[in-house]
Amino acid sequence: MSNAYDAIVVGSGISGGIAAKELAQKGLKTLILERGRKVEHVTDYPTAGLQPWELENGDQVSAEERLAYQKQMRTGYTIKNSTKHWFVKDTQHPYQEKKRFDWMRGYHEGGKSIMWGRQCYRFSDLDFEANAKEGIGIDWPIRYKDIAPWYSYVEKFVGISGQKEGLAQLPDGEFLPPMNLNVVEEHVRDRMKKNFKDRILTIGRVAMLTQPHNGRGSCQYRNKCIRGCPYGAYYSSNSGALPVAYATGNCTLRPYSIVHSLIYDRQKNKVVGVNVIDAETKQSYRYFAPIIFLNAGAVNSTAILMNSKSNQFPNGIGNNYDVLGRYLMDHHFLVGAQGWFPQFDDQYVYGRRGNGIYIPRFRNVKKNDQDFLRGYGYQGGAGRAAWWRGGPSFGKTLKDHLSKPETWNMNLMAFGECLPYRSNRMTLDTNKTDEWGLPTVTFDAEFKENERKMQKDMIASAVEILEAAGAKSVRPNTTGSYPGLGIHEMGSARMGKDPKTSVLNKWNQVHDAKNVFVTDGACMTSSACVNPSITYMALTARAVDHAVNSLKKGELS
Amino acid sequence: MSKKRHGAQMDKIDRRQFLKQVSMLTGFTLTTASWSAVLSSCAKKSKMLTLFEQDFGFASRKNLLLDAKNFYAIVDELTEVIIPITDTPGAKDARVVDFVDGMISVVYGKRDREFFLEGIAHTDSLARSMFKNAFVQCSEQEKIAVVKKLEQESASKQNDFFEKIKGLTIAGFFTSQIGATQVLKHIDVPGRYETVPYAEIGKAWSQ
Repeated sequence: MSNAYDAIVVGSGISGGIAAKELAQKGLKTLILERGRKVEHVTDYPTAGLQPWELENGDQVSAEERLAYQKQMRTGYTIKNSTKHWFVKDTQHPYQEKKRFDWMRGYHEGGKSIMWGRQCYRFSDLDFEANAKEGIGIDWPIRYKDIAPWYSYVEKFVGISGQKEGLAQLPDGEFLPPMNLNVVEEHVRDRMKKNFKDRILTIGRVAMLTQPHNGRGSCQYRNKCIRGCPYGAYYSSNSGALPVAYATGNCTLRPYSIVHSLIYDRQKNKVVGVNVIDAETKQSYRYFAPIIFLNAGAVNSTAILMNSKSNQFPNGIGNNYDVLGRYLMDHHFLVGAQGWFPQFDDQYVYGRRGNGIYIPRFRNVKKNDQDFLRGYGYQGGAGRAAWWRGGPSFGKTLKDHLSKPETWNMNLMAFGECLPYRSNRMTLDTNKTDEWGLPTVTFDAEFKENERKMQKDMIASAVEILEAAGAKSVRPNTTGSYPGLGIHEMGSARMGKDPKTSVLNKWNQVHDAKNVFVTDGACMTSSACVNPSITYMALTARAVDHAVNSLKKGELS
Repeated sequence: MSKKRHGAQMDKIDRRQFLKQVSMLTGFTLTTASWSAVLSSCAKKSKMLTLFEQDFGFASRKNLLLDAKNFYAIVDELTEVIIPITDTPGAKDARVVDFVDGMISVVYGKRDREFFLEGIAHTDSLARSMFKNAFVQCSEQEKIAVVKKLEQESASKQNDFFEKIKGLTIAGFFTSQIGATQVLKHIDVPGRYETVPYAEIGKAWSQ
């Protein structure tokens, strides 16, 4: 029958793309169910080549249109004429907030892999062991050695530029040549080396090519990444995994396919497929496969499990012990410091680098000696602002002022680990359904004491680093963020050893339904402080390998 | 809507809100890295641009100013006083007035738009009381005197119209092709990123 496949992948974003590629390359007839439209690499990046003056109204969306994006606008940088087509309309995709949660979504082929920040850092055993050592949450069922080869595997495919630093807490990967630091960043790096034994500064490790790689072109330093890269210079599902998956002849994508729930077959005592609602026609369809990968994004994958209710699973699949939807995490950020380096004003930059610096975690590394657990890393960079800084008065004075760049400024912004809290959760509201009749998500999550204490140190240490580097007029940035804004939502269907305290096993299989794999952010047992996408990709490739081996051995039937 | 409230609101503007406004204005991709650089570099001058309020009434027409011809002419002159022609083109050359028109007609909410239109009318009445002449009929020096008066009103928090028109003029001018390529240095596809002597570039980059 035409709706039967060897494998189904729900979602085509950063992890779904890898799942589909790996499954298809292993010879499985794979169906990707994507809830949004198709997005063909390059062809469907309508704003990628536009100049500033070609963007209507300074790239700002109309007052009328802003009404539709009230929550997606919370980032401040995503809803513009050049980028709004990558984000959902909140009016069409509503959700509830018991506490503020900034849930950023893009429903289209490629998902958020088109708009992601591209930063790629490996977790280390400092991260994998922390929960067990500190008695927080539950232990990860894996260690660094389990995932290390899979990091290498996906990094070689994706193409990560970066500098090896030999740090235990931030393992080196398979790097292409690093992007350049600028003169002020080099200065701060050198001063840090002198002033701190425990802190280094390195160039951001990014899924951006510094040389041609796997048929994709190298970065042209336009910094228009979020519009889609016509050179394929940054990795997205669209530029990377999906074309490879399709080229096998084994993989097809069905657009406008909203997965409603998993189909549980009582007689076979297993999940056999998925219920789909066509987003355009609202017709229901069913698709069947012996292997199902949920890669719909952490919150949506969790919602699909929750909505998969049956007599056998009255609270949804993977939810026999009230773990599903809990332990929701996101990185807390938007604090740090900035300072001025006027001594370098005879220097400037050529090019626009869609990357910055990274200062790896240095707190609680050798031992826990802070008044908070875990740690944070800094991102940021140095640059010279142009006209957008504003200037004095008006007339020739103003014009001349803005015709020159501002003094060098260096900014450090911390991304901190968030602990897994049972009370931080998402639930489904069956009384508030969307236009497809699906229950909507309600968030009830907040940063707590550990994050607040860490935040103080994130600010103080940024000031300390900049002052030690000789920055002038160092100012702390105390803005802070609400959960969700990091767009690193994770943990709501976590991995673990015990089915009573976790949803997934060490191979990302749902304990209760071994042929269902969840390999997006939902699977995370702790958040670490690093950008998580490359970890999702590595876990996905590892899980597919296990899935296909298990299938061959007859272990999934 | 009181003008005083606008001034008070500007005092309270936080960095995040400012960042939001700036990034909306600049029209570029701001990755986390450059985003934070913008944040930091703008923080100290956070009074420059106040654009949005949570007010989403919208205009039904795309060219309010063009439809109100005398307002269009006033804004055309006003932007030129803010960014005049020198040895390089100015606001009139770049048709900044059309940018302003689009912004207030389409992007601004109702309250901001009304405030802005009031500001244009206020500019003209200042000219009439100071020089017994319509703003557009004033001499260069007289126009500058009127704008100085607007600037003073803004500095003393009576009326921040000056900051608004200035912010729009700056954004409109430097994102225009003329501003970006003839006053600033613009390159679409740099192809590399590296530190270079400032003298090699000699101006600010357009983005």
